[in-house]
Amino acid sequence: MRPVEGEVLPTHTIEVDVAQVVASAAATWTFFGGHIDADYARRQNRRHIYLATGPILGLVDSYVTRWAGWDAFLRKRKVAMRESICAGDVIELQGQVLGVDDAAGTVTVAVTVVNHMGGRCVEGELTLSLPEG
Amino acid sequence: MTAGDYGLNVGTYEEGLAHVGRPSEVRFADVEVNTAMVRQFVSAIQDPNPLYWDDRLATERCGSPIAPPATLVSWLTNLRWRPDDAPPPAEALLVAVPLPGNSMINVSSEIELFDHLRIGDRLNVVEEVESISEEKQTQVGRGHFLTVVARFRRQSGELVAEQRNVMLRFWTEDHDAAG
Repeated sequence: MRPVEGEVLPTHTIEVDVAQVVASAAATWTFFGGHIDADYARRQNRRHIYLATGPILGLVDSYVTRWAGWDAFLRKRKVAMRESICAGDVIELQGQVLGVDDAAGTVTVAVTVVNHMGGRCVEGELTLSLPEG
Repeated sequence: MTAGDYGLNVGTYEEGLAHVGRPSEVRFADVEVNTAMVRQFVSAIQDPNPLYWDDRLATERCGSPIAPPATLVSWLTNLRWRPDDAPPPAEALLVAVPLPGNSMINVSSEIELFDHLRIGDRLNVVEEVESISEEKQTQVGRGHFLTVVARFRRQSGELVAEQRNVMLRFWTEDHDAAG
């Protein structure tokens, strides 16, 4: 594929449920209260248990790699967590190409994750080496 | 003194600042990067990338079966209980640095990767506190922003990734309300 600066990625929508929050926390050994205990999460002023960092990064990486090619290699990732992604949320991943480096064979993509209430949950920038061909 | 479900090491801002620039002891993963945990992860987040589901394809394309970059930190999350008499592993700096607060939230994460995470890697990490902010009042409570740099290597010593994490260590509202 040959990305173009400014190109907009197809959006991807996910309905986050309790099972996914807990399963992904368990898969990353992050047994912290905010990810598995609704009372604990509410004491942290959260609506419900929320996704751990690793799963969020996984969703973002998967979103961009789905577009760039499954064997695109992630070189750099910067992500800022603005709001928690809670069980019950519907999130949409959005992306846009910030730049293409033909010499290095890389593409840099800005990614935003927004929830069904319009909250901007995650903002990130990923640089990937594109698959050959 | 520890606090909260994270077992955060509670201390003063000044005690925390004493850790700035001091590299941690090396911490080793309890398990090798392994297929079972990779499958659990990609299933939980519904990632269909065939490189994480088809070991033969991954070997052909990447030189070996691989793990998602997003699993990096989880390989270095140490088991909370072990049956042997070995001393517990050193806690991650994000938890171990003494600071005020009974809770924490990950604010931002920045990583550079130099190779795939490969099935069979036994990773280790050395961390260093880069900075700690003065106390700030935030939406979730008052606390300090702690920045930690971590370098991850495989058993050969090869650097696999370098990560910078900013964590907010803070007091929950119910703690403050209790006075």
